[in-house]
Amino acid sequence: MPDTPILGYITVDSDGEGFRGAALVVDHRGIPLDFRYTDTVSPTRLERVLYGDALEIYVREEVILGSLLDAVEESPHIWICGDRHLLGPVSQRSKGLAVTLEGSNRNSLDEPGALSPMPEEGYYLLQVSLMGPPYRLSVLSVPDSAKAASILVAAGATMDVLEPFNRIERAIESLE
Amino acid sequence: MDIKSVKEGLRRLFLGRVSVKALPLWSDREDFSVRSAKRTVQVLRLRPPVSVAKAHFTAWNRGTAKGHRLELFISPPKAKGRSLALDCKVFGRKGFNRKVKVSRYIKRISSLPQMRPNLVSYVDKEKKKGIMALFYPVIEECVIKSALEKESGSLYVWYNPSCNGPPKVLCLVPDPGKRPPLAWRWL
Repeated sequence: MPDTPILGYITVDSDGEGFRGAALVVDHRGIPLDFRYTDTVSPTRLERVLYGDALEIYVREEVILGSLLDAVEESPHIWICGDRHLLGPVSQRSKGLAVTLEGSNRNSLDEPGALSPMPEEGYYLLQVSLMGPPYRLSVLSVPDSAKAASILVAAGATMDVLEPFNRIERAIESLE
Repeated sequence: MDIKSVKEGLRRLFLGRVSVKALPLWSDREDFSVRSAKRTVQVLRLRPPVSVAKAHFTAWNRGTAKGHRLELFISPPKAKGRSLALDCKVFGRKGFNRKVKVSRYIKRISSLPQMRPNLVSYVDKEKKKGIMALFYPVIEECVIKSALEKESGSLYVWYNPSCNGPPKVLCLVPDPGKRPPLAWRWL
């Protein structure tokens, strides 16, 4: 487990017309080390017809994720994805640990690091911080859950590990 | 009586009674014209030229969508010595660019504050006595400025990136002697 974990956050959002991705890498205090975003990729009507259902997967995974991960210069200990569909591609391309993290309305678990499996496969409740609700963690494999928990708990002692997604959203909004 | 003598008898009987007349087929004596029954074939197009857009489908790593190449074969119907002519134009369309422009925006995002929600509802009733709001973790040494959003009750903190320190709890407590009657406490 790293003493000062570096966390990566990656999202790909669609507004119905186009797709845009962003990646933020922060240190253990939540201070940005690198931030990248893509131009909006807007497929034409012909491309939507030709590619069909595969279009979204192709644009998200191949075009946007690939470009973002190639561009980011920092190597985070963990990638926190904005969508579970990104887990596989991010893990494969970065050759590292990838998880998703969401808030929950549950009561706090016993102590930071407490990990409780949920009924859905690959999902856990993780108490990251001393105070506050547990987070909903999803991973690709069971061994990933323990690795991810140790990194997130270490980071959670000095920062809010879910908060950087808000900053990505605000930064992207300011571009438009 | 043999057949020969019967024929002779009949010939004498009808001799001079049968008149043979000529009946021309056309009274105006038009000449016959002879035409060939051979036919020529005229080929007419039944539809306009066909245009086909060819797509370069792309196969990628996961293999969920394999590439296909769209080709058009048109075999004209065979006729004796002639064939239907169909013009076929094929247009190409390139697939998606695999690369999209990625920009760096570290300066802008570094100027944004970090948000901390109010966690007072997660503290035991006994411990939170007198505490109106509680924020954690906040690194006191790094805070340049902070702002409390009244609507959501969230705290926004701006950090100095070149300093460090231990995480602390920041509480908002009532302070009747002040105006407004509130005070911040680090724990």
